[in-house]
Amino acid sequence: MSKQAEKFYDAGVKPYSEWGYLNLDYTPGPQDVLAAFRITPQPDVPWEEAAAAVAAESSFATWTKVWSDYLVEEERYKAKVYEIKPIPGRDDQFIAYIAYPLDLFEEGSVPNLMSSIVGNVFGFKPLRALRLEDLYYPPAYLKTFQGPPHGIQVERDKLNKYGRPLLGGTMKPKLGLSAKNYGRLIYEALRGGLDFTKDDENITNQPFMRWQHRYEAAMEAVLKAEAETGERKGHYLNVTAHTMEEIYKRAEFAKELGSRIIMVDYLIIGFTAFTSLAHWCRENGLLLHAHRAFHSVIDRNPDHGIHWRVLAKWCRIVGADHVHNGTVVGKLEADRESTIAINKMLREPFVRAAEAPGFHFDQDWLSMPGMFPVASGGIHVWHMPELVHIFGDDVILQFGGGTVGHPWGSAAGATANRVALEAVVKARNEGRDLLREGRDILLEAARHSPELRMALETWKGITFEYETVDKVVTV
Amino acid sequence: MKRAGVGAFSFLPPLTREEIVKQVEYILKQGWIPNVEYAREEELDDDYRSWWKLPLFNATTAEEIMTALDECRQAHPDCYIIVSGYNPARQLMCHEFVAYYPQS
Repeated sequence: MSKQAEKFYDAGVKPYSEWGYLNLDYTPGPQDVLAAFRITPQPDVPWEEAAAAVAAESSFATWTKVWSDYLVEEERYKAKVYEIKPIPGRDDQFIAYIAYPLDLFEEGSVPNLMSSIVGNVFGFKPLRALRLEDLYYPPAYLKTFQGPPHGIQVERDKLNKYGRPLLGGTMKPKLGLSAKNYGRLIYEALRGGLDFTKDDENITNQPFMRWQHRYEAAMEAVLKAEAETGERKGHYLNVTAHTMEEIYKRAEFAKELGSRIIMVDYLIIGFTAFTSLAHWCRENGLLLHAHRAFHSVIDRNPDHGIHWRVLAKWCRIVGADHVHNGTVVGKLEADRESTIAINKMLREPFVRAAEAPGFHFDQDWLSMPGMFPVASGGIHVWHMPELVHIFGDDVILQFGGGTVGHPWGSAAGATANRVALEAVVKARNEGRDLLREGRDILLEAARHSPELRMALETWKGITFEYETVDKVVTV
Repeated sequence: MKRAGVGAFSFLPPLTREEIVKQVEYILKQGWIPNVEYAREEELDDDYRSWWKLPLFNATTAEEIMTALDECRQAHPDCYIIVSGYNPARQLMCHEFVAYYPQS
C-alpha cells in the first residue's frame, strides 16, 4: 500500500459521543468540577450527541481527531456527560450534567474557568441555545479561592451592628449633582437612620462630578453623620473605572479618607479586575460591595447564557462582601423561589440542592465566609414585613426612592425605614407572624413615628406585580 | 431623648420590662448565649464594653437574665445596660439591644 493511501492514526471526524465524552455510567470523582447545562440542540441533533459535543468543546477536543492527541493522557482532560435529564413540559431541550477533571483548571482563576466552560462552546452550531444552570466546586478547587474579603461576621463586627438587617439607600438623582449637593444627600440619609448610602452603578468620574471631589464630599457627610448619631456608617464609593490603575488609585484614596467600604460593578470590570480588587480589599481592610449591572444581558434569557445563580456563585468565590440579589417584592425581575435559594447560597456554609430550588448540586463552602445579599429596587416601608420574613437578618435592604422620595426629605425617609425595620424585627422576635400581622405592626410603630406615618400614607398601594420571565424549573 | 446609637432597637421607644423579657426569651430559644453589658454614653459604640460578670453560659430562663440585668442596673445607674445574644454555631453576635437607659 502506498504511503498516500495509508492512515497512520484514526484521523477524521467521529461523533463526540463515540470519543468518550458521553459516559452515562460514570460516577463523578470527589474532585471533579460539575456543570449542569440546559441544552437546546438543533432539531436533527440527538440529545446524547449534543451533550457530548458540549463536554468535548468545553474541555479537550477540537472538531477532528489530531495526531498530537496521542501525546497526552486524554482521560485526565476529557469532560464526561454523566447524566441527561428531560425538562418537564419541554421536548426541545434537556439538562446535561458534565464532570470536568480538576487538571483542566488553573487555581484561583474564574477567568480560566470561564474560558473553558462558557467559552467557544456557546457559539457551537449544532446547538440552538445553551445555558449554564449551575456549577459545583469540589473542595480542592474551592480552597484555591479566597472568597469574600471579609464576610458577614467580620462586617458586623466592623460596623458594630447586630440582630437586624442593615439599611441602605442609593442616592438619587443618579446623575448630575455636584459633589457638595451629593454629599448633602448622603448626610441627610445617614443622619436620618440609614447604615449605608451608595453611589449609583454608573457614577464614576463624569464632568459634573469628578471622583476625588465626590469621595471627599461623601466622606465628610459620613463622618459628620457618625459624629451626630454615635453610629458607624458608610458610603459605597464606586471605584468602577476603565483601567486597573485607575481602580487602584480610587480605592487607595477611599482608604486614605477613612471609608469603610467601596463598591464596583463586578461584571462590567470583568473577573480579572474583580479578583484583583477583592484581594486589595482584604489586604487593606475595606469592605467590598458588588453591583451586578450587566447581569440581565447574560442571565435573563431562559434558554441561553449563564443563570444568575452561577454569576452569584462566582461573586462569592472570587470575593465581595455584598452582592445585589433581587427583592422578590420590588421592581426588578426575579423568580421568588430562585432568589431565596440564591440568598441561601450566598450566606450559608453548606447548601443542599434539595432545599434550594434551581440549584442542581449540593455545595460545601468549607470555611469560606458568607456574604450579604442586597435587596434593592422599588421597595418601600410597606414591604418591610415581607422583606424581613423572606431575607432574615443577614441582608442589606436598600431603599433609594423609598428614602429620598419621602415628602419631608431623605432624613425623614431614612427614619421611617429604620423605625419600620426595627419594629418588624422586634415583632418577629416576639413570635408575631410578619405576613399576617405586618400591617398592624407598621401602624403600631407609626404611632410614635410621624416620619413612618407619612411614609405609609405616601406609598400605600404601590406594588410591582408582573409575571416572571425566567421561572425556576425542577428537573 | 437622645437615641442610643447602638443595638437593634435604637429607633424604638425604650422597651418595657415585658418587652425585654420577650427579647431575652428569643435569645434563649435560638440557643444563643446571653450577655449583659454596661457602658457610659461615650463608651457606647466602643468595640469592647464592660461585661456584667461573663457571658451567662448557664442561664436557661429569662428570670436569671433579668436578675443579672437588675443587679447590673443597680450597680451602674449612670450606664446604658445592653443585652446581646452570641451564636456559638455561627461564631457571631446575633442580637443586641439596649435594655435600660441611664437613670439620670
